[in-house]
Amino acid sequence: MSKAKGVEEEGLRPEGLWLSPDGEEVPVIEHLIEIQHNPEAFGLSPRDVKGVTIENLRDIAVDLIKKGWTRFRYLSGTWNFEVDSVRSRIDAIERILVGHRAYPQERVVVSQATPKRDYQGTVSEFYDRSMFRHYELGRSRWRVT
Amino acid sequence: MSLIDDAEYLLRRLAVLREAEELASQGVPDMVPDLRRLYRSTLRHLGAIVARVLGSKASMGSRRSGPSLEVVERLFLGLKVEAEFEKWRVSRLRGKERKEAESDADELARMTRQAAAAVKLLAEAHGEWSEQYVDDLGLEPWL
Repeated sequence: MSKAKGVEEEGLRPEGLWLSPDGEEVPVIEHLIEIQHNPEAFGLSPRDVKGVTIENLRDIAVDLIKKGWTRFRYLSGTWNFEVDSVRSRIDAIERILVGHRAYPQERVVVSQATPKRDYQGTVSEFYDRSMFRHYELGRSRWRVT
Repeated sequence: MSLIDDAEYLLRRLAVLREAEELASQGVPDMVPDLRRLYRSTLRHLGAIVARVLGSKASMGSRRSGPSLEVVERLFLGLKVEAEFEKWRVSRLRGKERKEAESDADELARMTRQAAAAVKLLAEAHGEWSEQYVDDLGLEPWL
Protein backbone atom coordinates (compact mmCIF):
# COMPACT_ATOMS: atom_id res chain seq x y z
CA MET A 1 0.00 0.00 0.00
CA SER A 2 1.37 3.43 -0.79
CA LYS A 3 1.28 5.74 2.21
CA ALA A 4 -0.51 9.01 1.62
CA LYS A 5 1.38 12.16 2.51
CA GLY A 6 0.22 13.54 5.80
CA VAL A 7 0.79 13.97 9.46
CA GLU A 8 3.05 10.93 9.69
CA GLU A 9 5.47 12.02 6.99
CA GLU A 10 7.18 15.21 7.95
CA GLY A 11 10.74 14.49 6.92
CA LEU A 12 13.10 14.66 9.87
CA ARG A 13 10.51 15.80 12.36
CA PRO A 14 9.63 13.38 15.13
CA GLU A 15 5.90 12.68 15.22
CA GLY A 16 5.42 12.29 18.90
CA LEU A 17 7.64 11.95 21.94
CA TRP A 18 7.48 11.63 25.66
CA LEU A 19 10.49 13.50 27.02
CA SER A 20 11.60 12.27 30.42
CA PRO A 21 12.66 14.65 33.21
CA ASP A 22 16.25 13.61 32.40
CA GLY A 23 15.87 14.50 28.75
CA GLU A 24 15.46 10.97 27.37
CA GLU A 25 13.25 10.84 24.29
CA VAL A 26 10.62 8.08 24.11
CA PRO A 27 9.15 8.02 20.58
CA VAL A 28 5.42 7.32 20.54
CA ILE A 29 2.61 6.70 18.12
CA GLU A 30 0.04 7.95 20.63
CA HIS A 31 0.97 9.13 24.10
CA LEU A 32 -1.65 7.35 26.21
CA ILE A 33 -1.35 4.08 24.32
CA GLU A 34 2.44 4.21 24.85
CA ILE A 35 1.95 4.40 28.62
CA GLN A 36 -0.29 1.33 28.47
CA HIS A 37 2.08 -0.64 26.20
CA ASN A 38 5.35 0.38 27.79
CA PRO A 39 4.70 1.26 31.46
CA GLU A 40 8.26 0.46 32.58
CA ALA A 41 9.62 3.35 30.49
CA PHE A 42 7.63 5.67 32.78
CA GLY A 43 8.59 4.04 36.05
CA LEU A 44 5.27 2.16 36.23
CA SER A 45 4.58 -1.54 36.54
CA PRO A 46 2.34 -3.52 34.15
CA ARG A 47 -0.07 -3.89 37.09
CA ASP A 48 -0.47 -0.09 37.22
CA VAL A 49 -1.97 -0.04 33.73
CA LYS A 50 -3.78 -3.39 33.55
CA GLY A 51 -7.47 -2.90 32.83
CA VAL A 52 -7.32 0.88 33.19
CA THR A 53 -9.88 3.11 31.49
CA ILE A 54 -8.96 5.95 29.15
CA GLU A 55 -9.82 8.38 31.95
CA ASN A 56 -7.30 6.56 34.20
CA LEU A 57 -4.66 6.79 31.47
CA ARG A 58 -5.26 10.52 31.16
CA ASP A 59 -4.83 10.90 34.91
CA ILE A 60 -1.55 8.96 34.70
CA ALA A 61 -0.40 11.25 31.86
CA VAL A 62 -1.27 14.32 33.93
CA ASP A 63 0.74 12.88 36.84
CA LEU A 64 3.73 12.21 34.58
CA ILE A 65 3.66 15.80 33.34
CA LYS A 66 3.51 17.00 36.96
CA LYS A 67 6.60 14.88 37.64
CA GLY A 68 8.53 16.65 34.88
CA TRP A 69 7.70 14.63 31.77
CA THR A 70 6.98 16.59 28.58
CA ARG A 71 4.40 15.50 26.03
CA PHE A 72 5.41 16.52 22.55
CA ARG A 73 3.85 16.19 19.11
CA TYR A 74 4.87 17.71 15.81
CA LEU A 75 1.86 18.56 13.74
CA SER A 76 2.12 20.07 10.25
CA GLY A 77 4.51 22.89 11.04
CA THR A 78 3.47 23.23 14.68
CA TRP A 79 5.59 22.02 17.59
CA ASN A 80 3.22 21.22 20.46
CA PHE A 81 4.50 20.80 24.00
CA GLU A 82 2.61 20.03 27.20
CA VAL A 83 4.54 20.78 30.36
CA ASP A 84 3.88 21.36 34.00
CA SER A 85 5.84 24.59 34.14
CA VAL A 86 7.38 26.45 31.20
CA ARG A 87 10.01 27.93 33.46
CA SER A 88 11.36 24.54 34.52
CA ARG A 89 11.12 22.87 31.09
CA ILE A 90 12.23 25.68 28.81
CA ASP A 91 15.70 24.20 28.24
CA ALA A 92 14.22 20.79 27.41
CA ILE A 93 11.88 22.37 24.86
CA GLU A 94 14.77 24.29 23.33
CA ARG A 95 16.83 21.09 23.04
CA ILE A 96 14.00 19.44 21.07
CA LEU A 97 13.64 22.41 18.73
CA VAL A 98 17.39 22.69 18.14
CA GLY A 99 17.98 18.93 18.02
CA HIS A 100 15.27 18.33 15.45
CA ARG A 101 16.13 21.44 13.47
CA ALA A 102 12.88 23.35 13.76
CA TYR A 103 12.56 26.09 11.14
CA PRO A 104 12.55 29.62 12.56
CA GLN A 105 9.16 30.44 11.02
CA GLU A 106 7.43 27.28 12.29
CA ARG A 107 4.92 27.54 15.13
CA VAL A 108 5.43 26.58 18.75
CA VAL A 109 2.53 25.97 21.14
CA VAL A 110 3.39 25.34 24.78
CA SER A 111 0.53 24.30 27.07
CA GLN A 112 1.45 24.83 30.67
CA ALA A 113 -0.50 22.95 33.35
CA THR A 114 0.41 24.98 36.42
CA PRO A 115 -0.98 27.59 36.22
CA LYS A 116 -3.02 26.67 33.15
CA ARG A 117 -1.84 28.81 30.26
CA ASP A 118 -1.06 28.39 26.54
CA TYR A 119 1.85 30.19 24.91
CA GLN A 120 2.12 30.52 21.14
CA GLY A 121 4.64 32.00 18.76
CA THR A 122 7.20 31.15 16.12
CA VAL A 123 10.36 29.15 16.79
CA SER A 124 12.33 32.42 16.50
CA GLU A 125 10.07 34.03 19.07
CA PHE A 126 10.64 31.05 21.33
CA TYR A 127 14.44 31.30 20.98
CA ASP A 128 14.51 35.00 21.88
CA ARG A 129 11.71 34.42 24.47
CA SER A 130 9.62 37.17 22.92
CA MET A 131 6.65 34.77 22.66
CA PHE A 132 6.40 35.04 26.45
CA ARG A 133 6.71 38.80 26.72
CA HIS A 134 3.01 39.54 27.13
CA TYR A 135 2.54 37.07 29.93
CA GLU A 136 3.00 37.37 33.63
CA LEU A 137 4.73 34.33 35.04
CA GLY A 138 4.32 34.36 38.79
CA ARG A 139 5.24 37.68 40.35
CA SER A 140 7.78 38.86 37.83
CA ARG A 141 7.57 39.37 34.09
CA TRP A 142 9.35 36.75 31.96
CA ARG A 143 12.95 37.86 31.58
CA VAL A 144 14.18 37.94 28.00
CA THR A 145 17.56 36.24 28.02
CA MET B 1 2.75 -5.51 2.98
CA SER B 2 0.00 -7.90 4.05
CA LEU B 3 -3.55 -6.80 4.70
CA ILE B 4 -3.07 -6.97 8.49
CA ASP B 5 0.04 -4.76 8.16
CA ASP B 6 -2.06 -2.28 6.18
CA ALA B 7 -4.81 -2.41 8.81
CA GLU B 8 -2.32 -1.85 11.65
CA TYR B 9 -0.69 1.03 9.76
CA LEU B 10 -4.11 2.66 9.34
CA LEU B 11 -4.95 2.10 13.02
CA ARG B 12 -1.69 3.83 14.02
CA ARG B 13 -2.56 6.66 11.69
CA LEU B 14 -6.00 6.99 13.27
CA ALA B 15 -4.40 7.18 16.73
CA VAL B 16 -2.00 9.90 15.56
CA LEU B 17 -4.78 11.90 13.91
CA ARG B 18 -7.07 11.59 16.92
CA GLU B 19 -4.40 12.81 19.28
CA ALA B 20 -3.34 15.56 16.88
CA GLU B 21 -6.96 16.74 16.76
CA GLU B 22 -7.10 16.87 20.54
CA LEU B 23 -3.88 18.91 20.68
CA ALA B 24 -4.95 21.17 17.82
CA SER B 25 -8.24 21.94 19.57
CA GLN B 26 -6.19 23.51 22.37
CA GLY B 27 -3.66 25.52 20.34
CA VAL B 28 -4.53 25.62 16.64
CA PRO B 29 -8.32 25.05 16.32
CA ASP B 30 -8.29 25.95 12.60
CA MET B 31 -6.63 22.60 11.93
CA VAL B 32 -9.34 20.53 13.64
CA PRO B 33 -11.74 20.17 10.65
CA ASP B 34 -8.88 19.09 8.34
CA LEU B 35 -7.66 16.54 10.86
CA ARG B 36 -11.17 15.14 11.28
CA ARG B 37 -11.55 14.89 7.49
CA LEU B 38 -8.27 12.96 7.37
CA TYR B 39 -9.45 10.77 10.24
CA ARG B 40 -12.69 10.02 8.41
CA SER B 41 -10.99 9.15 5.12
CA THR B 42 -8.51 6.92 6.96
CA LEU B 43 -11.43 5.25 8.71
CA ARG B 44 -13.13 4.55 5.36
CA HIS B 45 -9.91 3.08 4.05
CA LEU B 46 -9.60 0.93 7.17
CA GLY B 47 -13.19 -0.25 6.75
CA ALA B 48 -12.34 -1.56 3.28
CA ILE B 49 -9.23 -3.36 4.59
CA VAL B 50 -11.13 -4.85 7.54
CA ALA B 51 -13.78 -6.18 5.16
CA ARG B 52 -11.05 -7.82 3.06
CA VAL B 53 -9.28 -9.31 6.11
CA LEU B 54 -12.44 -10.75 7.55
CA GLY B 55 -13.94 -11.68 4.19
CA SER B 56 -17.19 -13.52 4.08
CA LYS B 57 -18.52 -15.61 6.90
CA ALA B 58 -18.18 -18.66 4.66
CA SER B 59 -14.43 -18.16 4.11
CA MET B 60 -13.91 -17.52 7.82
CA GLY B 61 -14.44 -21.18 8.58
CA SER B 62 -12.15 -22.28 5.78
CA ARG B 63 -8.61 -23.05 6.87
CA ARG B 64 -7.37 -22.61 3.30
CA SER B 65 -8.77 -19.20 2.34
CA GLY B 66 -9.73 -17.55 5.64
CA PRO B 67 -7.53 -15.43 7.91
CA SER B 68 -5.62 -17.02 10.79
CA LEU B 69 -6.78 -16.65 14.39
CA GLU B 70 -3.62 -14.65 15.19
CA VAL B 71 -4.37 -12.12 12.43
CA VAL B 72 -7.99 -11.70 13.52
CA GLU B 73 -6.92 -11.29 17.16
CA ARG B 74 -4.44 -8.55 16.16
CA LEU B 75 -7.11 -6.80 14.17
CA PHE B 76 -9.62 -7.00 17.02
CA LEU B 77 -7.15 -5.67 19.60
CA GLY B 78 -6.16 -2.72 17.40
CA LEU B 79 -9.76 -1.85 16.61
CA LYS B 80 -10.83 -2.19 20.24
CA VAL B 81 -8.31 0.40 21.46
CA GLU B 82 -9.28 2.95 18.81
CA ALA B 83 -13.01 2.28 19.28
CA GLU B 84 -12.69 2.85 23.04
CA PHE B 85 -10.79 6.12 22.53
CA GLU B 86 -13.29 7.38 19.98
CA LYS B 87 -16.23 6.45 22.20
CA TRP B 88 -14.60 8.32 25.07
CA ARG B 89 -13.91 11.36 22.86
CA VAL B 90 -17.55 11.48 21.76
CA SER B 91 -18.74 11.22 25.36
CA ARG B 92 -17.08 14.57 26.05
CA LEU B 93 -18.72 16.42 23.14
CA ARG B 94 -22.11 18.11 23.05
CA GLY B 95 -24.68 19.18 20.45
CA LYS B 96 -23.95 19.17 16.72
CA GLU B 97 -20.30 18.33 17.25
CA ARG B 98 -21.30 15.20 19.15
CA LYS B 99 -23.80 14.08 16.53
CA GLU B 100 -21.15 14.27 13.79
CA ALA B 101 -18.54 12.48 15.88
CA GLU B 102 -20.96 9.70 16.79
CA SER B 103 -20.99 8.32 13.26
CA ASP B 104 -17.21 7.69 13.36
CA ALA B 105 -17.44 6.06 16.78
CA ASP B 106 -20.35 3.91 15.59
CA GLU B 107 -18.42 2.83 12.52
CA LEU B 108 -15.41 1.81 14.62
CA ALA B 109 -17.63 -0.03 17.09
CA ARG B 110 -19.30 -1.89 14.21
CA MET B 111 -15.91 -3.01 12.84
CA THR B 112 -14.76 -4.03 16.32
CA ARG B 113 -17.86 -6.15 16.88
CA GLN B 114 -17.33 -7.74 13.47
CA ALA B 115 -13.73 -8.60 14.37
CA ALA B 116 -14.85 -9.93 17.77
CA ALA B 117 -17.37 -12.22 16.07
CA ALA B 118 -14.62 -13.48 13.75
CA VAL B 119 -12.32 -14.12 16.72
CA LYS B 120 -15.09 -16.14 18.40
CA LEU B 121 -15.73 -18.19 15.29
CA LEU B 122 -12.05 -19.04 14.76
CA ALA B 123 -11.20 -19.53 18.43
CA GLU B 124 -14.08 -21.99 18.76
CA ALA B 125 -12.93 -23.80 15.63
CA HIS B 126 -9.41 -24.07 17.11
CA GLY B 127 -10.64 -25.13 20.54
CA GLU B 128 -9.19 -21.98 22.12
CA TRP B 129 -12.45 -20.49 23.32
CA SER B 130 -12.77 -20.25 27.10
CA GLU B 131 -13.72 -17.74 29.79
CA GLN B 132 -10.03 -17.00 30.32
CA TYR B 133 -9.55 -16.38 26.60
CA VAL B 134 -12.48 -13.94 26.52
CA ASP B 135 -11.09 -12.17 29.57
CA ASP B 136 -7.52 -11.98 28.25
CA LEU B 137 -8.62 -10.33 25.02
CA GLY B 138 -11.27 -8.11 26.60
CA LEU B 139 -13.84 -9.54 24.21
CA GLU B 140 -16.88 -9.52 26.43
CA PRO B 141 -18.25 -6.00 25.68
CA TRP B 142 -17.92 -6.58 21.94
CA LEU B 143 -19.73 -9.89 21.55
